[in-house]
Amino acid sequence: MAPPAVQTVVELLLGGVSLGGLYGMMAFAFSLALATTRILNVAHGGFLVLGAALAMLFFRFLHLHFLLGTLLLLAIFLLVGLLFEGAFVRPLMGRPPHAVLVGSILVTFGFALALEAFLGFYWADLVDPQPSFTIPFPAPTLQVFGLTLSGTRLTILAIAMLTAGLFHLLLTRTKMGKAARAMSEDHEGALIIGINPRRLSIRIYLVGVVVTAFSGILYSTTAPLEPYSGLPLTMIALTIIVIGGVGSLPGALLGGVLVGTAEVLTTFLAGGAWAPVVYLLVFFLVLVVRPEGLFGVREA
Amino acid sequence: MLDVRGVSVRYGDLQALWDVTFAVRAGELVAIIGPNGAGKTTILKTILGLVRPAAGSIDFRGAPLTRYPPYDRVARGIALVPEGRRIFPNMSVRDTLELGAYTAGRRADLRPRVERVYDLFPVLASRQRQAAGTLSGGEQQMLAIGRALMADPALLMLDEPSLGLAPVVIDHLYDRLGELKGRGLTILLVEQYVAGALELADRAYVLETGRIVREGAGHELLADDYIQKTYLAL
Repeated sequence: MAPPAVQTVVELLLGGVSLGGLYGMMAFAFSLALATTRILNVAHGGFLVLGAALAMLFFRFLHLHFLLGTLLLLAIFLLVGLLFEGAFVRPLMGRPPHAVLVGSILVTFGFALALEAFLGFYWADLVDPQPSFTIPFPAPTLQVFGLTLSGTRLTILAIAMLTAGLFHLLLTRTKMGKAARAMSEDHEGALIIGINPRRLSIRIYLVGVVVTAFSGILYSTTAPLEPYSGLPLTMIALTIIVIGGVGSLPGALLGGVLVGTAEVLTTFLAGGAWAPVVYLLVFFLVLVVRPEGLFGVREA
Repeated sequence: MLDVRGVSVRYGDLQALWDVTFAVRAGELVAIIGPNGAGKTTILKTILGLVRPAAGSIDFRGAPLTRYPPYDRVARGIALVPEGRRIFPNMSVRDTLELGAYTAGRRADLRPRVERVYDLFPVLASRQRQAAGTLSGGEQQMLAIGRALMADPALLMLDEPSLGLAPVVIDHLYDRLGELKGRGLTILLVEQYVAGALELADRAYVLETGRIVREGAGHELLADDYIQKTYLAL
C-alpha cells in the first residue's frame, strides 16, 4: 500500500485532471461555436444540466435499456441543437458583430433562465420534488503501484481524451472542420471562398450540443447537477476559453485542466466556496500576462 | 459575361455607388481605376453578394445574380481576391488552397488544380506546409490569388493586388496576371496602380466618388490627358 498522503494527492490530481478533461470538452464546444458564429451562448451550461436530467429520467426513473436510452438521448440532443440554432443563432446571422454578441447574450440568457425554471419547477412537480441530477456509475477501482484509482474518473478521462482526439481530426481532416477554422480566423475571407455560414453553424451546434450534453451526463456520474448549475458552468466555460484562447483546442484542454485541478485542490484545502475565487484568479493572471489566451492568436 | 446595370449602394446615409453600369465580356481583362474611397471595393463586394445594392441589377452568364448569397455566386464561377488578402493566418498553404475549392463537389479531384497554382507560383509549392501567416506580403498575395483560382472561376476579380508590395514583386504579380489573361481567363481588376492596370487591361473604367466618369480601351486611357494629369502625374 502507498502511504495515505500519496494516495490522497494522486486521488486529488486524478479528480482534477478528469474534471478538467470534462470541462475542456464542454468548453471547446462553447469556444468553437463562439469563434465560428460569434454567438456567445450563455445557455451553454444549461445543456450539461439538460443532458444529466434527461439521462436520469431515462435510466433511473424509466429504467430504459442502456443502448436504447443512449440512442434516444443522442436523437434528443441533435434535435435540441437544431432547434436552438434555428431559434437563437440563425436570426442573428449576417448582422454586425457587436449586434450578434449583445443579441446572443440577451436571447441565450433568456433561454438559460427558462430552462432553469422549467427544470426547477416541472421537474419538482412531475418527477422528483428535489431536483438533483445524478447518475451514479460505480466503475471498479484500479490498483496501480499500490494506489487505488477511481474507475469512474479514469473512464471520464479516457472519454475526454477520445473526444479531444476526435475534435482534432474534425478540425484538421474534414472539410467541415477546416471551414470552421477558416470562419474563425477570417469571417469575411471564409464567406469569399464560398463557405455557407448557415450550413456550417447548424453542424457546429449539432456537434456542440451532443458533446456538451454528454459531458453533463459524465459530470453527473461523480457529482449531482442542479437546475441552477447551468450559469456557473457557462462561467467556467468562459473562464477556460479566455485562459486558453478562443477557438483553440489545446487551449480549451489546458484551460480545462487548470480550472478543474484548481477547483478540486481548492475544495480539498479550503472548501468548495473558494474554488471560483482561485480559478478566477488564474483567469485574471492570464488576462494580465497574455490577454489573447495561452494558445490564442493576437488579432491583426 | 458580367453585366452590371444601374447599381447603387448605400451604407446607411452614405451613398457609395451611384448608378454604376459596366460590362465584362468573356476573355477580357477589365480594370476599374480610381482614388481611395471611390467605391471600387464596394463594386466587387456587390458583385460577390457581400453587399446588397439599393438599386440596379447584376447579370452573370445571362442570369440575374441579385438574389443569390455569396456561396452560390462562387459556385457559379465568380472568385474574389479581396483587398488585404484575407488569408487564414494559422492555416497551411496547402489547406488554404484546398479550401479555395470549397464549392467544388466532394468528389472533385483537387490535385490538378493545386498543381496549376504551383506552376503559376512555384514559391507556394516550397511553402506548402507553412502557416499562411508566416509568408511574406507578396507570397500572401500569391496565395490569395491561388486560393481564388482553386475555385476554377469563370470570372476572377482582384481588389488592389499591388497594395503594400515592393515594385519588383508587383511586376512579378502582373506578369502572372498577364499569363492568366493569355490563357483566356476573364478578369476584373480593381487598382490604384493605374499605369500597370491600364497597360494590362483591354478596357478600363474610371470611378470617382461612386460614379463612372470615363471609360475606354486601356491604351486609350493611358494616353488620355485627364488620366495622365490626375493619376499618372505626368
